[in-house]
Amino acid sequence: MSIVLEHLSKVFGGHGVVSNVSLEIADGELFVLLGPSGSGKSTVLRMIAGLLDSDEGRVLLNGRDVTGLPPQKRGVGFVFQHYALFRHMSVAENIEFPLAIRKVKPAERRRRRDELLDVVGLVGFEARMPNQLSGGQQQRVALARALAHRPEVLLLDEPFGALDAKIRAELRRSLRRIQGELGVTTIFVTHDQEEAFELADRTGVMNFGRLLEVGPPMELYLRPQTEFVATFLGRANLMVGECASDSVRLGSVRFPLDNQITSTGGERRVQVLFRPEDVAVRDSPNVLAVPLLGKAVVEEAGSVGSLEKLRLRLPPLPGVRPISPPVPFGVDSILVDATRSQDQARRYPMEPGDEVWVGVRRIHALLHPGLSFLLVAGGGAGREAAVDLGGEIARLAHARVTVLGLGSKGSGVAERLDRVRERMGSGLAALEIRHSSAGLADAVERETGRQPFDLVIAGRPPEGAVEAAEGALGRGEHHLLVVPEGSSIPKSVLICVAVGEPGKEDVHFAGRLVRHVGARATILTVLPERSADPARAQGERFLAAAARSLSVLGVQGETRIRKGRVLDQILAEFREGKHDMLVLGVPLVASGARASLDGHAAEVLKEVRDRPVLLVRSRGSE
Amino acid sequence: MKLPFGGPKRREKKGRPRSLNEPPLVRGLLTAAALVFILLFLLLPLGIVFAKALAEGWGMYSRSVFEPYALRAIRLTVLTTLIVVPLNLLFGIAAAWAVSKFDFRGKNLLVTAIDLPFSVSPVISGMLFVLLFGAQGLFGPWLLERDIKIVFALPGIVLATLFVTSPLVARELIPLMRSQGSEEEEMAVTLGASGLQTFLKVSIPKMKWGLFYGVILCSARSIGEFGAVSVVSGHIRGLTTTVPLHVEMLYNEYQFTAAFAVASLLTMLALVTLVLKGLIEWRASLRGEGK
Repeated sequence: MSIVLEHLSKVFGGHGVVSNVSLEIADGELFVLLGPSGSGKSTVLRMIAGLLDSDEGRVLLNGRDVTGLPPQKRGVGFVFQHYALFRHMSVAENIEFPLAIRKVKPAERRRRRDELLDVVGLVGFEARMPNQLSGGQQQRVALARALAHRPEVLLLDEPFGALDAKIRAELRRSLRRIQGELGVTTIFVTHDQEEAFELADRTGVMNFGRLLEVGPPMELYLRPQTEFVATFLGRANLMVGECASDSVRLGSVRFPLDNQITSTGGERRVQVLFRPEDVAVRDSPNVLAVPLLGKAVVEEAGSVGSLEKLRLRLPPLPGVRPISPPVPFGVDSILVDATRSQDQARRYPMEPGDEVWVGVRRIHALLHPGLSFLLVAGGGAGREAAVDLGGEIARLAHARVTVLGLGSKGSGVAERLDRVRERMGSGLAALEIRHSSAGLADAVERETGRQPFDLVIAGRPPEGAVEAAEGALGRGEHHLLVVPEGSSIPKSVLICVAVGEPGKEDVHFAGRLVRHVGARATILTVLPERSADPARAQGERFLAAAARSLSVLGVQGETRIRKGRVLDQILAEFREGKHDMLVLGVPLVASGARASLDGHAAEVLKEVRDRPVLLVRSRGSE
Repeated sequence: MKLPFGGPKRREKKGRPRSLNEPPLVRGLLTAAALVFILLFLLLPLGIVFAKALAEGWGMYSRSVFEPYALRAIRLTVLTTLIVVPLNLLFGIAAAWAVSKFDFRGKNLLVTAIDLPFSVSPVISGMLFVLLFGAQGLFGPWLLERDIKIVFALPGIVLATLFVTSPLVARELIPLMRSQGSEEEEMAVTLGASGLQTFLKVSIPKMKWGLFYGVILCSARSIGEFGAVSVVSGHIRGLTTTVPLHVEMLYNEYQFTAAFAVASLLTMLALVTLVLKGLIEWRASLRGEGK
């Protein structure tokens, strides 16, 4: 392996710019690191080059740990977006610079320089100054310079970002050829998915500092596992349907799936993806030999070069919630994007307003169903904290968010919600703002009845935290995060489990959340003071299984066993380990009944007043 | 102060668009006003200096310039400049480096402090050194005991000149370095250059023109500085008089021709400075450097 990154993290001003990125890149591979601006991809590259120190984790180049080494000793070639040619040196001097630094003899330097000028196609440009070259030529010189000292690893930071489309395409071909000829292991950072498709052996998609998925670009396009990757790579029709073992139901139609989905913890909802080219459109249902979604109205139609793009509007389907393309607020129909070849478009012309039948040729279910959060705002002290921290976590988890404002009309709720909307506006999968003048328990129950949520996030009231938590847990299926004033994104999470608990729902859900916020996890179980060895062995096995399921999610976790009184030991571990979030499983008394917190959960919630506490509903022996 | 070559110079080949042009009358009046001003306040005095200097012929001119006291004044001025300029170069690079590459507490304070000598009257700067190092000053007795002379001697003149000219190099470099960023340095480092190599082979050449310009301004000001030096010099003819002080003394002694002859040297220096500055700006814009 030429490049190995192990749990690389970087924090700027309290924000995790890169969290827990692990990656292995093979010899001679061209790897494209893809992500929107601000996703941390350039930061990763700079940490590999040594231009930035990592806060955590290791960088290995060809098996050599270079984490503590200065950039000079790492032997990498780096290319910046804005070329960074030495403006006072000629092309020849620029390319020879790394050789001159290494005291290579002039004759050898000239030979290598001529070789490289030939490779990048700039023979005869030796004497030019950088400002006498076009942008594309400057970037070729920068590439030649980065390769002059025969680096083991080539790092390119959006190298073609400042160039126009035609030159970009030309340079992409040159780069692919040069990289293939020299066999130098390369990481190419870009926000342009087209570059990923054209260049990459494999590509990794980053968002909010986390590396979400890694694979060959077409594989990620056809079979993404996360909502973000599905919508970032190409255009996507994404919706939530109901899942069965080998098929998915959208409305009344069953679609066979191209992949097996392993249903986690009794999830019945599943996100499914079909690309615009997977959509079949005709004027009659009988000529379509694929499962039908229904009858739609053509909303927009237009040609872009070799393809015709259609946007279709389907009536609402029971149990189906559209995610992408996004549907405007207050509209309950479903939008579907489709593309057809120009040949098809000529043969079966369609105009906006036409009624057509829509079928789907191929459908793919996402492994990770998207998260959806309900944030409770207002209604007393501590409730703003829920919106702040909840919004931040939702951004990291790419979750859909509904903000529920509590308070009677005229109490300033509307103004407060407007501010919330402004603050949270960007970076969320979806944001809906609602208002209720009912009390916490009733309002949450009404919302969760309208639409299921994975997590309710509520502020911790100064008094009566346990009663409020019981109210917010209510009858639904959701978990609850209780947030005290002044909480920030957790970095270290303590997950408390009881040996032999029926499900591992608590570990699983907490693991997903922890992965999204990029924190570390510790799994703790407490045994009675005088427990026998078999009990201890059982405890260890249980914790090992829990740690495994965390590592499957990509979360670094360690395990702890303590003996003594449960409450004391949990609190002791929480304080000693300097953890900043606590996760507790809450067994459901009976399905459909109101939750009641008794025993440890209530005691812990009373004691831990200054850190967020996540109460995860265990599904019991359903 | 204008940044000498901040940003690419776009020569406007077609001139301003008509919509932005003022009527010919306004243009003509403005241009005429500027020309008259330049003629009255710049060219006329300049001409008078040379006319007066040569009023009694070349013989008198060369006698005035080459008489021993004048030569000594020139020597002292050159010596002061040779000491002050390199020191300011060091200070300027260090200050500009600190301000443009690092973030630290009190950075804005430092930037303001760098400009301080500009906002203080030179006379007061000079008095400051007298108060510090003079016989009745803060360190006066201590210096007296050890027989170290600062005020009314070369060290005082150097210190006063240094103080007055200290912002010049830094002021040139700070905006230049800020606009240039540090990508080239980062590049050099990934290519294997050490910190010192990066500084010598990349950073210094990058700010070359800014440095030249700063040095020219700094030299011109050190040679011409009057106020601060006047206070600390003590006007000992042939020992602590610089060229400007020498001119003043000749003038006060009603030796007008000699005064103007020596003054013409300073005037020519000013012209040389202008020409050099113009040349540098022209070269920099020609090579597209300093961007």
